[in-house]
Amino acid sequence: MIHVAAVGDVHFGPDAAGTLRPHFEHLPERADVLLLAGDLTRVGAPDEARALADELDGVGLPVVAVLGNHDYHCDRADEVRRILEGVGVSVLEGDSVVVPVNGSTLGVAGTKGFGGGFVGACGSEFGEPEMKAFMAHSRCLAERLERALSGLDTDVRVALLHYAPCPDTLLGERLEIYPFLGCYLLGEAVDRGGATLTVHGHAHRGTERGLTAGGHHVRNVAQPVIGHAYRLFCLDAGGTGGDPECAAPALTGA
Amino acid sequence: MTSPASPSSGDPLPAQDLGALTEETRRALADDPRLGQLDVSITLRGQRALLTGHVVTGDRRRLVGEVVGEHLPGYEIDNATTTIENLPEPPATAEELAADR
Repeated sequence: MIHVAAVGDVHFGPDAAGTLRPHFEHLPERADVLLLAGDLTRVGAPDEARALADELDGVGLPVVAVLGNHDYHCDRADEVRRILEGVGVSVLEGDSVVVPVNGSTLGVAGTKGFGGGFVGACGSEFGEPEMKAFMAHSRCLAERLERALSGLDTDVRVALLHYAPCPDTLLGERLEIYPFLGCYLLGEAVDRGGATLTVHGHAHRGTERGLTAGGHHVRNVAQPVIGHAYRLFCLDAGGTGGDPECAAPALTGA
Repeated sequence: MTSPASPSSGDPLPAQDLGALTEETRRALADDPRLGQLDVSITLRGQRALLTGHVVTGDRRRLVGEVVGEHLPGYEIDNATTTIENLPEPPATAEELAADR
């Protein structure tokens, strides 16, 4: 079993310093990797990234992240990325990382992703240059995700996104904004590349559980949705299945 | 059904003005560098403004109320936003998922 902890949309800043770290103290006893599904900062300012980096520094397990739309707002996403990488966080964008876990391997492919909408109500690369650019960006990131997933030769594959790959996990959000919350192209990328689990954030009023069109598991781990510091998953590398809820390693001293 | 009233004059506010006012206030929450807050919902009814959604800290919650108050003078602000400070202990169980076959 590979234990994965995941959370998105922590929207961190100096004013939140110290609020996450206590929950991460015993995380290495419960999980093999921590996934951060974007919107790591409030507006993508370097001091906000530093505050989160301080929270993650020496946390004791591999941390893999993608950036979210908030992390781009100040046009300093490269600095945000470098600050997080400075404390050992792997920040993915169209690429992947392999985490060895007790003789097995976990591959994580990640992208921020982008909007565009879902089947029956989605944009297309047609008309004005701005509309073409919008959808081309979404398609490009989805294609990179598919390549990253397909290139993983690991026991278990996970897709890490900020935007949603299916509409199921948006339930609770206003229908009018679905095209700004995710894109079916991401779901197609997951279905073609293959992933035991896909996690995303971005949809604060959404729903936790969903499936891609091809039946791959999708989980919305935006912190306002899960209501915890993180959500835990145990992934069976052998494909034998098991109970839908498995006991997480107990917290000690927490 | 009564039309929403302008808090300053008490006269009904046309629906399009109400919509514009709501959007202008919502944009102010997004543009304020102290907040960058996109997902606070603002509902104007009569002389009250109801704010719902999640913010990270109590300080940001207070700021949201202040910024909305500046943009909606005369409205009584009902700040029902919630914070995710003091998160509960992480769940005792993990969801198990089998690998693709």
